[in-house]
Amino acid sequence: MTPAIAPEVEILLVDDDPHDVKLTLRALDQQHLANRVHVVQDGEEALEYLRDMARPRLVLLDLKLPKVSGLEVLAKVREDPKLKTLPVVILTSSREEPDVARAYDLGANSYIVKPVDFEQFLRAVSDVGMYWLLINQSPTT
Amino acid sequence: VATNVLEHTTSRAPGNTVSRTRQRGLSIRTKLPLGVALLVTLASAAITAAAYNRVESMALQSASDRLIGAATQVSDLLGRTVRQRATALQQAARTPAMAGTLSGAIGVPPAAAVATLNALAGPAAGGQVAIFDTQRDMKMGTNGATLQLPEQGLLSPIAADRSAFVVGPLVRDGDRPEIFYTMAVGIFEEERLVGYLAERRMVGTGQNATVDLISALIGEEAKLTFGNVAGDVWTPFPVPPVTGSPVLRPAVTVVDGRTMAARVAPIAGTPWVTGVALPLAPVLAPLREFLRGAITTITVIVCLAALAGWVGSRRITMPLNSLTDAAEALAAGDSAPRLDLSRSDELGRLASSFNTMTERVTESRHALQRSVDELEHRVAARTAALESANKELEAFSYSVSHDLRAPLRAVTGFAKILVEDHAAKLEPSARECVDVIAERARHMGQLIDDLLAFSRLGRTAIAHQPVDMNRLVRRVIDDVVRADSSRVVNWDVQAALPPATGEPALLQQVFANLIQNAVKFTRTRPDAVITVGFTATPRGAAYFVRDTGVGFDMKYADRLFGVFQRLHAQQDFEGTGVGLAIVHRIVARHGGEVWADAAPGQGATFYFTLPTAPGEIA
Repeated sequence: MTPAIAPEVEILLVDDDPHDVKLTLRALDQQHLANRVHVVQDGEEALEYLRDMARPRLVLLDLKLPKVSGLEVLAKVREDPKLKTLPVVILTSSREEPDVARAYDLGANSYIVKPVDFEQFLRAVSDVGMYWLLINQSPTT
Repeated sequence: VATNVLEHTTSRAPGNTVSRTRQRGLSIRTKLPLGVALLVTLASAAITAAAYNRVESMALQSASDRLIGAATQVSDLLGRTVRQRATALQQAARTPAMAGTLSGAIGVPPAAAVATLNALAGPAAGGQVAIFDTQRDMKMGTNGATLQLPEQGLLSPIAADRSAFVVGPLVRDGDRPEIFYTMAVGIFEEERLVGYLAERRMVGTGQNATVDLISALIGEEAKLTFGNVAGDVWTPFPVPPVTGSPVLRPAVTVVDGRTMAARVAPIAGTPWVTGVALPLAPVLAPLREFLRGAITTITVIVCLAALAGWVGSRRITMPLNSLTDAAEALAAGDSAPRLDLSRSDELGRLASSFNTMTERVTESRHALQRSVDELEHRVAARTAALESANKELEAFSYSVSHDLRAPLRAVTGFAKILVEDHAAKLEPSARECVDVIAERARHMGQLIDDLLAFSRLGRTAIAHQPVDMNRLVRRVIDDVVRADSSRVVNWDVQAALPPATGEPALLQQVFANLIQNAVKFTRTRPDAVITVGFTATPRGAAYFVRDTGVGFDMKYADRLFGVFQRLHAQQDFEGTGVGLAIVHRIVARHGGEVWADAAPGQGATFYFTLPTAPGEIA
């Protein structure tokens, strides 16, 4: 592997809301993961990153994104033979049942609704980061 | 709805519900000619029978008249012959030789008398003539004369009347076929009867002319007979006679195997009768001819009548058939053809009425089709509008869910960051402000969540499955107790709640909201009691949740189930005012009712009705 960015990127965060990004990074910082996060603003950028750069260990994917929606990104990822095992966690404000069902249908590994309450939000995001990067064993390819 | 209407109209399509009627029995087209033929046959037969009877009786009457005439003429003819013979005898009796013979000496016959007797007897065989005295003794006779006078009693008219004569009955001489008769006249001398001149003659000689005459009168076929009144000697003409059957009865009789009409007539001055018989076959032959002709005529008439009936029935049934076909087509939903009957009779009127009816029906059908089309169009438009509204609603929900929550999260998050990262720079009052900001943002998040849950209820389909209400209540109470184990509540749950029909998750939501409310509003009571049960109410059997909490004033009851409606201050009892609205909507969507009964400080009871499940429990 050629580390294009040091330190090695482990999480790809796809979110267009800068405030949510800041809060998410703050939550991940509690697990000391914040500096290994790469942030993109929309689905197109996300797909470009995944195509061109090294494979991250986790994708945190919002659903409502400019250009290419989160569900489309998820569908493309699962179609790609190199990426189909990549852990993708949906992190979104939507708790609509059709979104949840569609996300799991397309092969999401988890679906997390962003809590309005910041305390709960902190806990949820840090739990997700800890689980997928520290506890869970994922395939590397 | 649109497709239902469409299916309903198309399902009545050709021939499904209206089947062509099968005709049972004979058609008019058959019955009419048959009936006409039968009627004509009967009428003709009756007329023919009457005519036949009349003609037959006339023929018989005419035959009878002819017979009577013939019998009378034959009788006159024979009577005249007898009288001529008697006149000849009387002329001879008046000759002086006759009386002289009787008054003269016995045994010496005067030559004149003998000559006269021989002249009377004539050359024919069997003829005998003799002179008798008043003592009935023969004084003189032709050679070998054996004749005898008729009996004394028969002779008396001669004594009274000089012109009288006596004829005896026909007699047969032994077994010989010849028939004889005796005739006597008086011999007078100066007005005094002195004796009798009598002769025996054989019947028949010189009678052929008579037979020819009779034949000419009544025909060759006629049978002529004559004999004694007593019927002991009877002979047919012509003589020489052979033995025949006597014809004495003046009626139709069978003679020698032939049906004959017969008449008899007495012959004046004799003890004889004459009979004439006429065979009926020749008489009735024209009648039979008439009958044959009549039957032929009748057959022809009947055939013509049947033909006329057939043509007539065709004139009637063909329009009827086309009318029936048209009516059946109309009944089957097809377009009926227009009937073209250029007739001014009843059938023409019927056809014209039918045409009018067809037009009306077609118009109505078109109108109906237009209505259906319009309805379908409207339904489709409404459905499209509804779908679009639903899509908008979904988009709205999505926006609310996503876009409203994100800023709220930013508010709470950055408030927290403010407190955490800049605590040293914040005065206590500023810190208080930041807390309020965070708390209100959280509350707004809750409001949004509740509102979304409430709006989602309007879109969820309601299943209708049996629901075990006891299990739902137990689960809700368990959750409530687990969520706040510090609270002490006395639960009074009725043992066997009847099952309901509906969506289990939604019905659980109803109990959850009501029971959570009950727990919340009994918070200030030291020994709270919450009762869950099922009871009869004026609005029907209802489930209920009762508490001993703070209650409320019933004058606000109408605001109870509205969205965001609250009867208590936020600092006393927290909440968004959506819970009871959700209860109301769920119960309404199940077809039930919800209502409350309460008083301030006296607790509250919430009732709701649901369709109950008749079957097993899910």
